[in-house]
Amino acid sequence: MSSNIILSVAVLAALGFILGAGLAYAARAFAITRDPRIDAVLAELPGANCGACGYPGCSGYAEALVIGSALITGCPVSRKEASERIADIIGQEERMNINSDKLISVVKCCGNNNTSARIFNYSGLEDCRAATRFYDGPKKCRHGCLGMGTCISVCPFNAITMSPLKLPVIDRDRCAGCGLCVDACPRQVMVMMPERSGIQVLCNSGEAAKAARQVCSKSCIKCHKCANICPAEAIFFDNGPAKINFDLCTNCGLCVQECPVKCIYETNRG
Amino acid sequence: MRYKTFPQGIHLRYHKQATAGKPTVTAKAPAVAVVPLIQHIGVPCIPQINVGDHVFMGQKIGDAEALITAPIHSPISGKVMALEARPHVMRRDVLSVVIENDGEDELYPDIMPYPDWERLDPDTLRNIIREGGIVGMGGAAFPTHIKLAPQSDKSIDAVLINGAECEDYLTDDNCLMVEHPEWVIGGARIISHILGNVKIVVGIEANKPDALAAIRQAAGEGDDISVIALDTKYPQGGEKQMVKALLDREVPSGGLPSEVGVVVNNVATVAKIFELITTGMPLISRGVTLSGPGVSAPGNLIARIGTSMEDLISECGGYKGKIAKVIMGGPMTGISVFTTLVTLTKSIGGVVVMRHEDICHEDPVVCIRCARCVDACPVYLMPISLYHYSRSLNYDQAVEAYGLFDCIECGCCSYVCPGRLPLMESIKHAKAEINNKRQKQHGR
Repeated sequence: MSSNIILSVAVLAALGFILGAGLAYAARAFAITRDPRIDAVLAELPGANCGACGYPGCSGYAEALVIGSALITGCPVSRKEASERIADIIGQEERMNINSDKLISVVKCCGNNNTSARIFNYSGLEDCRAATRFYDGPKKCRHGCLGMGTCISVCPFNAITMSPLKLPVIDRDRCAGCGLCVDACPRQVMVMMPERSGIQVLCNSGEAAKAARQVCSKSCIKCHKCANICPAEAIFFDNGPAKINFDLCTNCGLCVQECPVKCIYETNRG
Repeated sequence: MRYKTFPQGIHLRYHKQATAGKPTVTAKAPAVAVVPLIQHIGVPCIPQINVGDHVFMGQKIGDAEALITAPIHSPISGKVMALEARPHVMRRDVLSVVIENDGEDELYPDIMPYPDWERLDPDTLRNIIREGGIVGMGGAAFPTHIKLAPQSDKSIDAVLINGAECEDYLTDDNCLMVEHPEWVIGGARIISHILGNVKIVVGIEANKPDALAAIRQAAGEGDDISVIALDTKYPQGGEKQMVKALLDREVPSGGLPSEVGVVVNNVATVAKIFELITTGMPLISRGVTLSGPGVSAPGNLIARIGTSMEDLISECGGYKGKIAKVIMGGPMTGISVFTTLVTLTKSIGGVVVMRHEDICHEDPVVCIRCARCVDACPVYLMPISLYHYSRSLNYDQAVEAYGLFDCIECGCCSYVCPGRLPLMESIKHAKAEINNKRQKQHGR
C-alpha cells in the first residue's frame, strides 16, 4: 500500500523534473527579446489609452515610438517634461516641436436652450452628427452647439458633462487635451486652447450682426467694443467673431464687462 | 392564388382608400415657382440663366458638365426674380431659381416631339432623355440616362417596370396606370428599344386591380410584355425585391440590378419618357398624392415642379386639425420637412400630413431580443446588431461582419420594433459616418 504511494510520488516528481527542464530550455532557446525601451516609454506615457494618437492604446504607441514609426508629438496628452524624457529614451531629435503648453478643449458657443432659437423640434437619434444631417440640426444658428453630447460619448477622460440648458461643460482638471471631441464635433464648436488662456469668446458664428442676432441673443455681433477697450490690444477680428491673442492677453477681464451680448467669459473661473 | 413576392418584409396598413379612386386633378401653376438646382443624385446643376431673364416653359435653366447629373427646366414661363438659397426637401437651403409666373405658359420654341423614335439609335435616345432631365421618379432621383447605359460587359435581358407603389397613402402611380396605361406601356417599349429589344415585365401589387386590368389591356396580346400581380407587401417596390419577385434573381451584395441583366424603372419615370418622346416636353411636372389625416380633401394632383407645399395643400382644401408633421414622400422612407415653404422636386411622389394624435411620441425603451427586426428585414440583415455597433461607435465591425452597406433603408425594422428603438436611423447614421471617414482618408 505504502509502496504505491511512494511510487506515484516518485513518478510525478520525475515527470515534473523532466518537463520543467524542457520548459527551462525552451525559455532560453526560443526567448523573444523585448526592447526594454518600450517599457520605459510606456512608463512615461499617460496610460489613459484614449487612442488620440491613432494607435491601440499607450502600449501600441510606445512600440511605434521605439520602432520609429511615430513621432513624440503624436500624443497630445503628454506633458512637456514627459515628452522630453521619452525623447531621451528613444533618442528622437524632435524636441523643437514638443508643445510646451497644456491644451484643453473649449466649447465656443454660449447659446443655450433659452437664448438660441430653434427651427423645428428634433426627435431623432440623440447624436449631434445625425442631427446635423437632418436640415443642419434643429438650431437656427448653423454654427452653434447642438447640445446632444456626441463629445461626451467620445471623451475617454469623462471630462465633459451636459449642463441643464444643454451646453457641454469641460472639467479643466480632467481634460487631458487629447482632442477627440474636436474631431467628433460636426459643428467645429470644440477647439483646443492653451490652458493658460482664461478669457474666451464663446461664439463660433461668422454671420453678420443682424443675421446672427436673429438666431441667437448671445451671438457675437462684431461690434469691436472688446477690441477697443482691451488695454493689451489682444483682441482682433478676421472674418468672424472676436479672437483673442493669448500671448498678449493679461486676463484683466475688461472685455467681459464691455461685451454688449455677454459672449465673452472667464472660463478659468468656472 | 399565390402572388409572386420576395422573402420577409412586412404588411402595412396602406391607408390608400382616401385617394385611390379619385381622378387626377391638374393643380394651378404657381404664381412664383422656386426651382432648386439639386433635384437628383449626382452633381448639382449650375444656373444657365441670369436674374431678370425671361424664361419659357420647358427651357433649360440648370445643367452641369459631369456624367451623373440631370438638367433642370423651367416649369412655367416668366421672369427670373432671384437666384438664391431657399428651403429644400433634403437640406436647409439650396441654390434655387425663383421664377415669377406671367400666366402665359409660353412653350420653349425648341421643344419638339420625336415621332420616328424607333429609327433613332440608343445613344441619341439616351441623350434626348438626358436633355429632358428625366430622373428616377420613384424617390431615388437617379438620372435615368445613366441607368439606361449599362456597362458593356453586362448583357441586359429584361426591363422591369415597377408599379408596386408599396408605401402607405401614396396612390399617384396607381392613378397614372389607370388613367394613362398607354403612356406606361409606350415608355416601356422605348426603354426596351434602347436596351436592344429586351423583354418587358411589369410588376403591380395585387391591391391595385384597376391598374392591373388597365395595364394588361394596354399591353395587348403580344408576348413581349408580361404583366404580373405581386403580393401586397412592403418593400415590394424596392429595386432588388422587385428583381427577386419577378425573375427570381438575387442581386449580389453591393451590386446593381444590371449585374443580373435587369434594369428597373418606376412607372412614373417610363410615362415621363413616353411624354418626352411624343411631345418633347421635359420633366417639369409630376403626379403627387396629397393625403394623410391632416388634409381636408386628399387627392391626386399633377403639379409643376417648384410649386410650394403650402400651395399644394391649399389646393386640397388646406389642413385639418393640429398638424404635427408634413412628410415628403411616403411615411416609411419620406422625410418630415421643417417648413412648408419647400417646393416640389422631381422625386417627391407624395405629401402626407399627420396630426398630433396620429404620430407616435413614445421614447425608445430597450431591446427585448424578440428578433422581429431580423424576421422583417428584406435583405437578411440583423438590424439589432447593427444598432448596437452603431451606438457603440464601432462602425467598422458593422461593415465587416454585419453587412451594413446592404441595408436598403426601408424602415421595416424600426416599424416592427416593440421597443421603439431607432434601428433604421442608427444604421443610416453609421453609413454616413463611414462614408465621412472614407472621404477624409481619401482627402489625405
